Amino acid sequence: MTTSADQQNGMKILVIEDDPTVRTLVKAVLEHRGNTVSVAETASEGERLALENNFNMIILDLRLPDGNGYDVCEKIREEGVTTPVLVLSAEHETDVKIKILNVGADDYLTKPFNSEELMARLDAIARRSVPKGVDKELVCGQLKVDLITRKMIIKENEVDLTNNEFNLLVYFMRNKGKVISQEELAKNVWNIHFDTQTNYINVYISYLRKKMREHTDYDFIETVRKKGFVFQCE
Amino acid sequence: MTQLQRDVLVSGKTSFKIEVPYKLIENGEKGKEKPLIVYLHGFGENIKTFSEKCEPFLDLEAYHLFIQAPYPLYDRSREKNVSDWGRAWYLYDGNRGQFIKSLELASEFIQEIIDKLLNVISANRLCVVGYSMGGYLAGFFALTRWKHVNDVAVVGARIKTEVLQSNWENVRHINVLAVHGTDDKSVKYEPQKKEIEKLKENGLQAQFKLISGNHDFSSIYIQEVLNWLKESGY
Repeated sequence: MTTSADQQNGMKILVIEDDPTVRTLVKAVLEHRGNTVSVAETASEGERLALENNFNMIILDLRLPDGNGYDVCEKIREEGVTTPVLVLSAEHETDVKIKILNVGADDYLTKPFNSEELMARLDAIARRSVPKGVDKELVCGQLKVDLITRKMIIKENEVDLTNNEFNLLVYFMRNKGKVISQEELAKNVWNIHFDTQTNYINVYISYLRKKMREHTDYDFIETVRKKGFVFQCE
Repeated sequence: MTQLQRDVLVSGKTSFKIEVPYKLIENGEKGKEKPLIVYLHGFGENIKTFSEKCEPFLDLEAYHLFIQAPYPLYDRSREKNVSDWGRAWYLYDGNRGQFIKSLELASEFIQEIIDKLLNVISANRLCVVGYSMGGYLAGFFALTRWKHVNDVAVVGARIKTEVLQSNWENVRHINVLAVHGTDDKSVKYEPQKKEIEKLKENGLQAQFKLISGNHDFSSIYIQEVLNWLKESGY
């Protein structure tokens, strides 16, 4: 049976907390279990450390002297940091909890908490964060899409995509093998429900094809005359 | 006679623990990675009645998790044992705040059970199936615990997309099925139909199945969910 100590041995953990009592206690408990702990007292410092290092876990206080935990979490997620985040909050309000989850945190723990509760929560997050359930990437032959970092990877080459290109590619990959009309793409990718009389879809498809062709000769997106497009894997 | 002064010194809220049964059934090769399907019953049902109804799902190779709702509905006739009483998932008096708070508490409770089980099982996908009151909860759980949920099937309820606070990108990986009866007098089908349209417009794979029937979880509804699960690779 796995125990807290087993789960959290040897992890690199960032604690972003301005309250010295909580910070010291959390650090001591985590270090006692064999983890390496870095601490930040402000939102900006925490954000910088999270972006510059590869932590296994981030423990984030919601109220910080120069900002709040929501913004830190949102920012690091936007920057592609997928490290599990446990938010510590003194707020018991449900809206706060939902907002915490919506900005990409993995769980929350309301203060006051005891160290066993903290460890149990970290265990659970660590288990859940093993990438086996939720789609974190889509694969189609030599093409991969990382749904967290929002990048396309072809033959180990990372390719940056704009939001529209990314959404278009994900839609194609989730509907591979199926003929997709321009109307369907307009509706599901751009949320446009009327004919704009422009060829923006063709333009984005050409951008996407161009980025793909820089790394492969295979044509993933095939045009089906008068019907639309079909996304095929090799 | 001297008038005594009466003051409320403290008033607050705390929690009270009750025992709630859950049951995990494994179908398929022991120890092999497989999907986890969580079943949430409707108002007035319990783990026993609902797991009997859900018998057809048990043929799927998966872990099947049945959880009983926490709030008991007293049997004033005293004809039933406590284990046979109906149960409810949340408290609802028409107040939105109370509703959301109660849904969040129930979601925490479900998450806690899943977290505990992930210690001992190896799940590669998570689906939540909910009917009526359990359907509202299934939708709420999927939209707030989007990191861990792959698929959600809601029968005779409405998916409360308002909790997303426009964070559509987070949930685009979730496949959604809504099944509703044309003559459902308890929960009208039109609002759910609108929610499914909204989900589709925002890039989710969502389906709405309207079938001839009332507010029910009978074999025809179960068959729809079962077909969808099979089509989705379960």
